[in-house]
Amino acid sequence: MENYNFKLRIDDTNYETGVTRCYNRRKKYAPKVPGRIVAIIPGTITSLAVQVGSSVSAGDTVLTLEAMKMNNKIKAPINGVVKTVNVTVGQSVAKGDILLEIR
Amino acid sequence: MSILNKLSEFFKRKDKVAAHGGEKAVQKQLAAGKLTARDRINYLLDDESFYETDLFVEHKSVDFGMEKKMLPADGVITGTGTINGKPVAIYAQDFTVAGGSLGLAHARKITKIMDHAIRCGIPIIGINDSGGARIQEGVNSLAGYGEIFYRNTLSSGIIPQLSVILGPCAGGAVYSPALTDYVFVVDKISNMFITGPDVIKTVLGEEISKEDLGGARVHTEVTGNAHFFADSEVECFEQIKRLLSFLPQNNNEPPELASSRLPKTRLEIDRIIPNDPRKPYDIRDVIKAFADDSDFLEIQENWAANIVIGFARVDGKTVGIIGNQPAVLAGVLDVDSSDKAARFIRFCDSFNIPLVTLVDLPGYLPGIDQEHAGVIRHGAKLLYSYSEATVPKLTVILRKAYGGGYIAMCSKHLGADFVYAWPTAEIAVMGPEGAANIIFKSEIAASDDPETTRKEKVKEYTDKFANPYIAAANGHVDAVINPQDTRRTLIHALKITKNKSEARPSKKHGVPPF
Repeated sequence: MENYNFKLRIDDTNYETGVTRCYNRRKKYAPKVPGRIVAIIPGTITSLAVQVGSSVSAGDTVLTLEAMKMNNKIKAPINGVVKTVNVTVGQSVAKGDILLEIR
Repeated sequence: MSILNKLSEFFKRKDKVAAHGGEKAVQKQLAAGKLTARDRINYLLDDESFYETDLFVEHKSVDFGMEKKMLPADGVITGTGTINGKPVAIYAQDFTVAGGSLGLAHARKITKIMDHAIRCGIPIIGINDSGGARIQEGVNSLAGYGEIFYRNTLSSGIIPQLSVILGPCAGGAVYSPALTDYVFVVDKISNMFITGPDVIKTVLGEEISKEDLGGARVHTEVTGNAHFFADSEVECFEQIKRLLSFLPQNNNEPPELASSRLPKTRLEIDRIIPNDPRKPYDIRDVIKAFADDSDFLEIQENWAANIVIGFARVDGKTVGIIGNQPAVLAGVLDVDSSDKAARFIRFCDSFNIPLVTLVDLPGYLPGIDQEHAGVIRHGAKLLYSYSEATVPKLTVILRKAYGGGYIAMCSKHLGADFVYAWPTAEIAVMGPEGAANIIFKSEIAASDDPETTRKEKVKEYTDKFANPYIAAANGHVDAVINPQDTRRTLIHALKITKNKSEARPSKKHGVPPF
């Protein structure tokens, strides 16, 4: 509280003030990349239906991710061509990992 | 059987159930740094004031060998007593008996004492220390939780409800505390979460300790689920007594009048408030300068600290204080601070506690995270609760009151009875820098020396608008006062508004933005 080194800018004015733990830990905004498939849950890749260069339509299953004893079919969010595949069958992935990208 | 034999049988039965879950379990409880359920009650209540009810209640469960198990008091101590001489109802879960697990008989003991509290108009205190549902009782234990939640909701706004977390409180059990008015936690003893570390690890592969997931610090600094943090159980009990001293017994009476006491410090504005509105100070120094005995009980001190809420007395009368805190994030309103203040305002309004609002804020916190977290609907809670409140509403504008923040902080427009402004107040649509850059945009751009022109225009705006007199000229401020007269003025305003009554169109209830 005694530390007022932080400057908060509001309406072109810098206010000298303290800062909270929650403010420092706030989530930075990451714009959504269309065609990027991210693991929503940690698990294991059990099958891959595409490779680099494959053409896909939105809704096609591109891979399966086993998590909590469920085989989750991961589908292409957009029409396009697979640009990168970052995983192989049998690989364990963590939440947030980029699995593949479609353009 | 002779009377003596009957008496001796009574004592025998009583001693058996009063022994908690047995010597071993009690030793384990003490070794964990925790008091037993009965000791907790005795520490908290006035000496010799506790009268226990339902000591001999037994469960009716017959599955999984439960029919052979006698659980003393079914794992929860219930009864009534006094704190500061005033009656309260209380229950304390007994972790030494089947882990304090909640079955139907256990729950019905709690709902029975809750019913007493509602009927008699006395505060209820629940001490939580339980592993959760008694799995052997299946859906009956879920029924028990539901019946407690229902009564928590019915009691809301009728009697003060306090939850004290002195052990685990997990799964559905967390929702009773969440429905009550104030939650007390103790470092390294309290744990609250919906799903514990084990489930999180299994499902998400994320490892976290109980303490980091839902310990006392987390709930008083990050989530805002708890209101009071203590280092020990005994300190926690002192906090409860202190809080109750500010509150009425129920919504049909005002808080007890204490004798009026002068503040320990004298309000010296030059020493508390920097002249430059961009510089910080601690709003609590202002509160202490006008509160009786400089006594201020802060609530949720470490969460959303950009707004300060709590109880104090002015001329012996309890008031609920809401103040922007320039020392933290410049005192802005954001998702959490709006939520924190809004709930407090509704509590005060329910329990006949006048509101004193201290204003010094630059506006709302800018940011993508704020917008995406719903600052619109959370911010609306503050407008709603101030507008809805019919208790006396007194506002003092100390320094900045800009834009939407000015409206939200109990302005005249939201029904404040009296709005006072210090001569240092700046009531405007935004700060001079921002306003000048917009209003004089083309002049500044066309100037040969834009920076000098900008400075001139900022000064022009400051001279004209950065004061309380335009708002006062329009009647949005009732009086500009000498800061030294703040206490005197508040005492007077509390006298004037004492019998305030405000008729509102009748309705079942409103639809607040939560």
